[in-house]
Amino acid sequence: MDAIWPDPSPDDLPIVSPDGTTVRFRRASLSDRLAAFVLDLFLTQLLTSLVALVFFLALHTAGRQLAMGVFVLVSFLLRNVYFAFFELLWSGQTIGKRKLRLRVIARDGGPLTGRAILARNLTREIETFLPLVALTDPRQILPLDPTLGLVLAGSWFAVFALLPALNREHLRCGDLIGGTVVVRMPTTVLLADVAASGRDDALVFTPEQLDIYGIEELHVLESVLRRGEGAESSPVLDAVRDRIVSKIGWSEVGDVSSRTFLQAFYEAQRAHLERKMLFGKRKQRKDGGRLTK
Amino acid sequence: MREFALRSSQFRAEREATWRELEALLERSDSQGLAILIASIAGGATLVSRDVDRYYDIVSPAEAEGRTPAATTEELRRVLYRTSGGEAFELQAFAAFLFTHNAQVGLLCAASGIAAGAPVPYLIATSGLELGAMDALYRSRGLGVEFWAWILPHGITEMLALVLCAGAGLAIGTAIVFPGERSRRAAVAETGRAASDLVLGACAMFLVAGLIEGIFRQSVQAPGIRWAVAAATALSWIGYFSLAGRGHGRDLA
Repeated sequence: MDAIWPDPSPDDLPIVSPDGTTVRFRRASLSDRLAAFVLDLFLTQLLTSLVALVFFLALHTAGRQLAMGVFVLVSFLLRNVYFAFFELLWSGQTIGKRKLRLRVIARDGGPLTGRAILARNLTREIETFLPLVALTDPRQILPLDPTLGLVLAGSWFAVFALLPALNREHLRCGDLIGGTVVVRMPTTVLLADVAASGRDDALVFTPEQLDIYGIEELHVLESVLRRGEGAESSPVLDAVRDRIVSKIGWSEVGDVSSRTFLQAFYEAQRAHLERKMLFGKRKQRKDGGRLTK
Repeated sequence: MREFALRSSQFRAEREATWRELEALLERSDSQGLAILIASIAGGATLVSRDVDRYYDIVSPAEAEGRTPAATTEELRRVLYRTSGGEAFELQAFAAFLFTHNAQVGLLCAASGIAAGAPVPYLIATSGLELGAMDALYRSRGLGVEFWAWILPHGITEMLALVLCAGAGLAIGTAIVFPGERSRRAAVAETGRAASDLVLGACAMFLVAGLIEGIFRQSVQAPGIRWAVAAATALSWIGYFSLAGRGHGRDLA
């Protein structure tokens, strides 16, 4: 299990990649998907209206026909190609999905192919646009009987619009045809650098003192410093400080707190190890430490 | 390096698989679509030649644009030799309009696959019936040959593209109803991905048809040249569909 999402949740969606690795994704919530869709819809409609505006401004000029051709083409592209275009460009994200931190992935765990993206966007027309048109103007589908048209369009819309709410992975028709699923992208949070919190310059260690410990001990020290939650001293910090003091033969234990001492030692130790790494000398652990290789 | 080798061979295998999938889709579903289209054209023509009044049931007033049994022969003929796209359009805009309109119908056809393909025969048959009805109307006025000279230069490309989209829709529908040995979900996803290739190709064909219909047909009036172009498009598509993709799959066999 991968740690994309640290805590288990009912929204977890394990995806098994072709090589057998299970990665725990998190399905996108219905509200997020609706919001992303509405945002994309709003953008495309806004652009369409802008082009329409240009067309109407050019209505009485010589460029009328050109403007008309452009309007017809652009509105077709915005209606049919916008989603597929951005999902191809940003591997599974449109502007709306980006804002809502959603992404389309292949349900079988393989790469998201262009064919899958095209297939999943094929059905947008019959899932939303057409029923919406029919609901606002039922005459367009059944000119003779608008009431029946309204009922038909309503039930059609209900079936396809509600489909994502009726299955666990929130798949819509397009996801079924494309074999895709929409997941939430985790926010990447980087921990603060322990060495960046400032050290006490009065504490100076000699190279011999810093030659004792290796990378593993540095990691342990770092986790101790992170876990202490800023307390100046605690039984753990004191114990660790005492171990280090006796190990490196530190004589001048003044009135510095355990944290200040460990912080200074951490930074000096890390700088020392990094400097040695520049010359190709990697010290994995202290001499005589754990014998595991 | 090994990863690169693996990828390229995998890519080739995938391309082979794509061609074979497409071939299977074409054979199975597009022949059904083509059959429905031809049957409905013949049906529309027969219905209207038996009883002219049925024309009004088949062709909606918006589609007819005045081409009804009530119109005079001269009016019917004038539509065939119009030099613009009607009152509102000039040629380029007309071509753009035709392309987007037809591609939209094609996309709709393919997407209807998700409703088990049920709307697909309806969508094709309505177009076929309209065409047949108009054929009967024009033939009754002795304009049959000229009518088809007007339809076929773009019609062959357009109808083939429509049949491709219908095939895509029917294939998806078939996968939903008869998934075979795969799970229903896997069958639909697999077919859907292959069908999207058909739709993409069909869109390119709709663009070609739109350009022929919007620009060529409106500027060239001689029926002889129109027939020649129709024959040329027919030959090139027949050639393309029977020859393209040959050789793929041969190394695997």
